[in-house]
Amino acid sequence: MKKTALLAVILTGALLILSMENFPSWGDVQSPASLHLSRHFIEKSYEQTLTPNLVTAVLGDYRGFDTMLETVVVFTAALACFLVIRLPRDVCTPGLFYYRHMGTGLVVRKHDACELPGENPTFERVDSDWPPHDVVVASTCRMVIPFIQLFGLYVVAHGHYSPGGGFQGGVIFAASYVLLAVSHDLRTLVHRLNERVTHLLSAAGVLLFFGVGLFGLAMGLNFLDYGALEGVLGMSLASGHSLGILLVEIGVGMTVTAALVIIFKLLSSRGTVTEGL
Amino acid sequence: MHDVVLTILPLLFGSFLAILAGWTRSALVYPLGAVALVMSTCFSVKLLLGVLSTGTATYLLGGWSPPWGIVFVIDAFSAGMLVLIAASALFTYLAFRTEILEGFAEKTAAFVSLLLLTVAGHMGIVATGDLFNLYVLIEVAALSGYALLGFGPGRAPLASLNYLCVGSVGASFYLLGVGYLYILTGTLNMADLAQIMAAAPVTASLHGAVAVILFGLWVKMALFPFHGWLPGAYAMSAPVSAALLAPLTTKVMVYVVIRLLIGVIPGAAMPEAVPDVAMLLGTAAIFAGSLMAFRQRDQRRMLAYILVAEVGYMIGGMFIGNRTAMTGAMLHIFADALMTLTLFLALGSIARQRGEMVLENMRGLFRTMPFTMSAFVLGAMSMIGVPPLFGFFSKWYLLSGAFESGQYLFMVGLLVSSLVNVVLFFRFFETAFFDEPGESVRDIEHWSRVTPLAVAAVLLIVAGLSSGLIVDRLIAGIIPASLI
Repeated sequence: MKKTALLAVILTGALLILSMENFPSWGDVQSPASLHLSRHFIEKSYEQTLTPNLVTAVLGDYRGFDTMLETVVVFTAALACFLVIRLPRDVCTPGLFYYRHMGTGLVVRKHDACELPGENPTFERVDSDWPPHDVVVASTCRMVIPFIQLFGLYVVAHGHYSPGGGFQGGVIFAASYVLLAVSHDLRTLVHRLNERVTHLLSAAGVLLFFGVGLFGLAMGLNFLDYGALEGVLGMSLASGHSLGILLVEIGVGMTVTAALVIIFKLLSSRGTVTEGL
Repeated sequence: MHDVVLTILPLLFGSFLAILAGWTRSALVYPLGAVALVMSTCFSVKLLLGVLSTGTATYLLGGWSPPWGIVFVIDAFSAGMLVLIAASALFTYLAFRTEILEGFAEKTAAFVSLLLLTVAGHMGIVATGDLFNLYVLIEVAALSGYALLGFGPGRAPLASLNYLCVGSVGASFYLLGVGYLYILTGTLNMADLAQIMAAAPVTASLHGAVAVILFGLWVKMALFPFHGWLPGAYAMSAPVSAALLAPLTTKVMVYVVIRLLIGVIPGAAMPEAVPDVAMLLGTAAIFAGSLMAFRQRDQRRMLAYILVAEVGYMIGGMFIGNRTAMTGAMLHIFADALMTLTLFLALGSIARQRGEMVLENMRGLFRTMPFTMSAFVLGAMSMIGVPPLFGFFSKWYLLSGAFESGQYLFMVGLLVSSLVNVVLFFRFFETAFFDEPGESVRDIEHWSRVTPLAVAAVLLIVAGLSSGLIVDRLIAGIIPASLI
């Protein structure tokens, strides 16, 4: 079976390489790809969208619908994880729940109770497989995290001028939360960003993108036509497009951040979202 | 004017709102989904009527004209598909109300949201006129589909993981082919691409691109021998997910292939071997699907294998290369979707009462669930191909098309699979009709479940009787005049 698979892979690869024989050479200025669409984008996009970064202009504006659906894909991924691996709240998984007695420091495993009711003064939840966290690591990360988040915001906002945008910025922002969980524990993260907040945030992000599209529809233009933002705050048509791109990038950033945090929380805690790592 | 995009927007909007509602006011989630589906169905019907009276509708997303922006292009055939998808999703949604509300507990909002997303994805695939946008929509439709099928008891997550692996391979091949075409032509818009390709020199690379795209789509539509994911995914998932996706996924992929064949890829760009390979695989799918359906104990799994055979019908029909067979393949998309819907809705109701779907558990169903079983009989008869049900007419077109072109093996396949369906379904009917139900059986038929099922079953007759009209208004104008 393995040999057949290997053979199939080699055969497919060979066929794919063979079928590339008529491709234009790399970077050829006369190739169809550089003559047809790209030329239009290079010549017109700054004039039409006031966005120096052509990639952002194409992704955010000309092919904004694709980008909206890609954001929906990220949103879907988070929902899919939630639907498939989130354990119901009333399912108790023994072995996952450990408590430390505050007075003596002894760790006990309670068989019949997954969650101690309310704030318990004598017992504290601890992770089953995580050593007490290091003060140095925790404090360093605590200092670094705000700067990471600031950088994430910069990348989201600066997508018009440099490589960046909602997806990249969102990932950086989510990474700061992952760092928080890794350097402290998952409960610290859940305390800051609970499930409800992350899910609402992920839906709000796509809704912002969608809302910009609907605004176009409401102003009598086509769906996702940022030209509708012309005149808002006294803007010209091109800066309306620029504003539209910024708004949708913010929406993308929100969804990507929230979705990645949701997926991280679920995967690292075996679907319980209370502990892990 | 905005009808084109309004068919899909309520679904997307509904799916985002469902999550917001799920974490704030969970009682609103189910009605929200229903409203979204009803709106989508209404706009699709309105669009269909509009397209029938004024011709093809085009919608520029973001206001950018093609080929720089993305367009939706709706002709009569795709408008019919939109109505079909929206309506069948609505029927499933209404019929499985209790399962959706109870079976998923705290996850109802996520389920409803994913359901709306998958329907939106499938409708978008039908509507779009852009090759890359099509890929993104396949992603939306497939990813939410994997999640829906993966939520279930026992081995459902594993079956869905299988589906995910195979489906991703198919989608990757499709994307690779789109990349090839972009390098060769510099465009992604279907209409633009068709023009450029018709003028472009026919090279090995062009053949390679077309072959890779078709291969990817064949994997996605579960054409034999790439069908391995389908039976497990549809037989092990929650009944509501199977009933939602079985009428949609494979049919929509068949639609995409037909769209590419008649609208985008000119005859010369199609590698010569492809039609022969397609006929071979299609015929093999019919024989293999029927044979394997014969060996299944689980009735849902049996139905899934019949679906594998049905994919073979449509692939064979579209590659025979004459007008009658192409008409048959296109008509069969509608017929197959409708009868799959009927059968899966009925089996879902039965599964709720009887648990495991083996033959021994089906005793006395005619007595205890007469309405559900009547609808099931109609669906099964249509699957067999009994006039005047819908399945007969599409099969008739396929048979006469195959006869015109002398594809006798394919004809034999069609007849054999009909015979196998007769045996399979009558085995079921015999147990359900003649055997006494067990002492402990307390079957309940609730009107909220029976009504959508009955409508679907009646539609099978109505659509069958008006299949001439469907061919005239929706299909005949789409097939290019060059295809004789």
